[in-house]
Amino acid sequence: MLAEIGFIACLFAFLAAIYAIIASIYGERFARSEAMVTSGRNAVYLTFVMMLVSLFCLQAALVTEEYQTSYVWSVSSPDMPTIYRWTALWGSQAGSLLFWSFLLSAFAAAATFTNWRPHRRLMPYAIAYMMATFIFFVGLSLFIENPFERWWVLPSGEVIAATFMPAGAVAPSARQLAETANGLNPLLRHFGMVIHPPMLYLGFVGFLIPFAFAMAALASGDLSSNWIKVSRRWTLIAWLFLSLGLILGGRWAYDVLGWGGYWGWDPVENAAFLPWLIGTAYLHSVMIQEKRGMLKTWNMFLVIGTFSAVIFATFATRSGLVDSVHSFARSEIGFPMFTFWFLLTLISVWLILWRRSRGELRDEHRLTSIFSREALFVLNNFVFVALFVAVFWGSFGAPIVSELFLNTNITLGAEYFTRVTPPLFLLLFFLMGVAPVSAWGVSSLRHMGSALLIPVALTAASLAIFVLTGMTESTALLAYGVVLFAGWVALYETYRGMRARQQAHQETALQAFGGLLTRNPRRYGGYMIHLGITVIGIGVIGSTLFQQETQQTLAVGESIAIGGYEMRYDGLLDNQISEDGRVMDIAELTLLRDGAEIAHLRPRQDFFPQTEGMNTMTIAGAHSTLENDFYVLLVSWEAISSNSATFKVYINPLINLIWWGSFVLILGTVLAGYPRETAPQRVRETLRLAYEGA
Amino acid sequence: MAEMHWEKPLVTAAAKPAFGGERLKFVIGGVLLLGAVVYLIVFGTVSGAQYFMTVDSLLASGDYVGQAVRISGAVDGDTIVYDGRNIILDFTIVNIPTETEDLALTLHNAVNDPNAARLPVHMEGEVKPDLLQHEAQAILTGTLGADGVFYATELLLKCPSRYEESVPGQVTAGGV
Repeated sequence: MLAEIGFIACLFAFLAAIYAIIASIYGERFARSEAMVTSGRNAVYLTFVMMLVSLFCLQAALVTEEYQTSYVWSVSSPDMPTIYRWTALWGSQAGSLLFWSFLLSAFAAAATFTNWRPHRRLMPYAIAYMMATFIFFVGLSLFIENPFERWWVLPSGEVIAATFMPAGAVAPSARQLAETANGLNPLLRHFGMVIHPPMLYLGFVGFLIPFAFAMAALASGDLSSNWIKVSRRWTLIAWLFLSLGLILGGRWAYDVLGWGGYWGWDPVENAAFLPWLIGTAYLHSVMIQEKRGMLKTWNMFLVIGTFSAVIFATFATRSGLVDSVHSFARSEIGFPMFTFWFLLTLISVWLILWRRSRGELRDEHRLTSIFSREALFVLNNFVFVALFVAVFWGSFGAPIVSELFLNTNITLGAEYFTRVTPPLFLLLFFLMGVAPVSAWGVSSLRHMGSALLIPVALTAASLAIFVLTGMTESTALLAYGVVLFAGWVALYETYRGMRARQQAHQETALQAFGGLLTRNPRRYGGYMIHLGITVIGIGVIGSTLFQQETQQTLAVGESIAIGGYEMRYDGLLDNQISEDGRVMDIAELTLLRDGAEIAHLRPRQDFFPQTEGMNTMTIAGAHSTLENDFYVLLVSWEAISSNSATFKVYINPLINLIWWGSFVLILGTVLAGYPRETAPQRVRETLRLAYEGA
Repeated sequence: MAEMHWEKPLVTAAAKPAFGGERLKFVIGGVLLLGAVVYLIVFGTVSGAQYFMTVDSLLASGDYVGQAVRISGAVDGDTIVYDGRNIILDFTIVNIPTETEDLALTLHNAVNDPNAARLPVHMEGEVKPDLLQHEAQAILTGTLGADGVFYATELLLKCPSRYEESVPGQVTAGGV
């Protein structure tokens, strides 16, 4: 029953979305009927309600273990803990697509609700674009990857999946289905998998809103700063979720995949990183348009490029285009998705070029000084786009071009990325340090030099400490120097702002800091994001350049010494059975530092007897400090005597700064994007009444 | 409410850019930067390129001995030998003919084809991956030695059953 309701709700959402487009556009352009446009808006809300019902049905089927629904059967099993019954919603293609469409409808409804009144002129077009995208994705769920199909036994005895009961078919035995149910892929049974996919999806889907408003601006001809106002905040929201999704994905890989790293330059990781790169470029260049009325065409390209990259990433991940640990299995949705991506990009670019050819995207100023803030922002955009091109070329461009034109298949490994991207990242950090002290319009080198004096001195002092503590590698010092410089500028600029307020208003340091954030949240929230990125950068440099690893076989009582630690093997607990049915072999280790015991680690190997195919999992044991992670994997052991086992150990210096830096980044983004009232409610209300009465 | 016009008047006269000293600086700077980025990408591509090929094509031409390549093949589970003490992994991969929609079936047929080309793989220092199983698809990076053994440095595995739904077998009709 649940499956049928879910399917029908999904179908209604699909129809409501079609109606929303027709009513909005026809009502706005041809019938000029306010009532019709309003009913189009209401249809947007209806799609959300219907998707909520649909999603609820699938979730309920999962939680109540309706194995007759083929999706439930394929991603869950009776022995699974409840938490994974919830997350199994995005455990496989069909469910995660439905979840994706649900998020799309939620974002569309929220954006419609918040912008209906202030941006009424843009709304019909924005609704049309949002709903067109929604129709495509929900269509995939309805016609290709339907999560509501059920198992049926045909009279011939054949078992098939179908949404509605085929003639003469009967439902199979629920008990037998429960026994044969697949269960969630063991790799996905991890806390990181509980939140990583939703965050990533929220980030991806969130970029729909800035895209729809940019397109609405192009279609309606309202190319004033209205669309920029809407898109900036929604971009920030999407950007935050995407950043979190990327970081959590790294954390999941670090904890679960057991190779001691968090980012492998895998094509699917890169695909998710691509929209982040252009989205970040946009968040910077949009400021130039707001302040100086420049880069109008460019910003359009960035917004549309971001969403185009999102759809491309979705296509790359879900179609089986690339081989990766992350990708879903080869699927029939590849061709429709590629077509959708292609049309979306084509139409968007055509619209931009059309408006531009009419002279409607003309810039109000020109670049005047190389050291002006707008010139530095243009450079920042250039580097972001260069990174985008480099990562895209390495992951997709080179393989595709070589296959099409050179009749070979060339792929670029991780070395390509570790060679090409670091100089570009360092240049970005350098700009992150320089740009905040530059001025709009004209800026002189002398002015910037004096503003940078103290941050440079602080950077030099930090590096001196590094050298004195024994770190003398020149590459590392250069990298740390540039990254620290960016961080010191962010801190020093915040400090200067606080000092100024303290002197002017007789405030305490905390009050002054609060005052800065309320007065200019974008600037100081932005500095906090810069600081977070700096902390992440330090972690990345440390864990990349100074990782140590070793592997050794130990008898019980023997030890390995590495990185100032001593690890003693105390024994093996084999065949431990956990409540979800997995069989665990656990090594018991004691970690010592300077002869004192500091931790007990239990790296293990899990075996899932119920699961076919991929059924073992290596779980690392880790001891985390701010200085480094001691990360150990149980590689193998003597099954019978159990008196010796082989371990692989990694020392990952400063890796925890990556996770800590992320918290700073989240905080900064929330502060920078927190909605502010531009005028008190009472004043705005008076203004509105005056306007409407006019 | 007053009628409002949103369409902006079209700008007809294009402002002529002044080709002054500042503009020249931007052009030169831009060209230099673009050159640097192109150089980085080309240099990275040349040094990082790996030919992706099948077992058949690697064995058919002797040109690739000693050169970094990526190959794809189906894992023959019976041949996996893992020396956990020294972390040495040996197994054999089988040529995969053209991939079809059903990867599981393709891999199954490849492994059971007695005439398919086979290639022994040797790998050191890598922990045996959880996904290394019978009839998994292996994507390996490494070099083909003169001894006919593929010395792999990187191993990526794909198990067709992982995310794909199969049909329940042995199910009969009957309510609950």
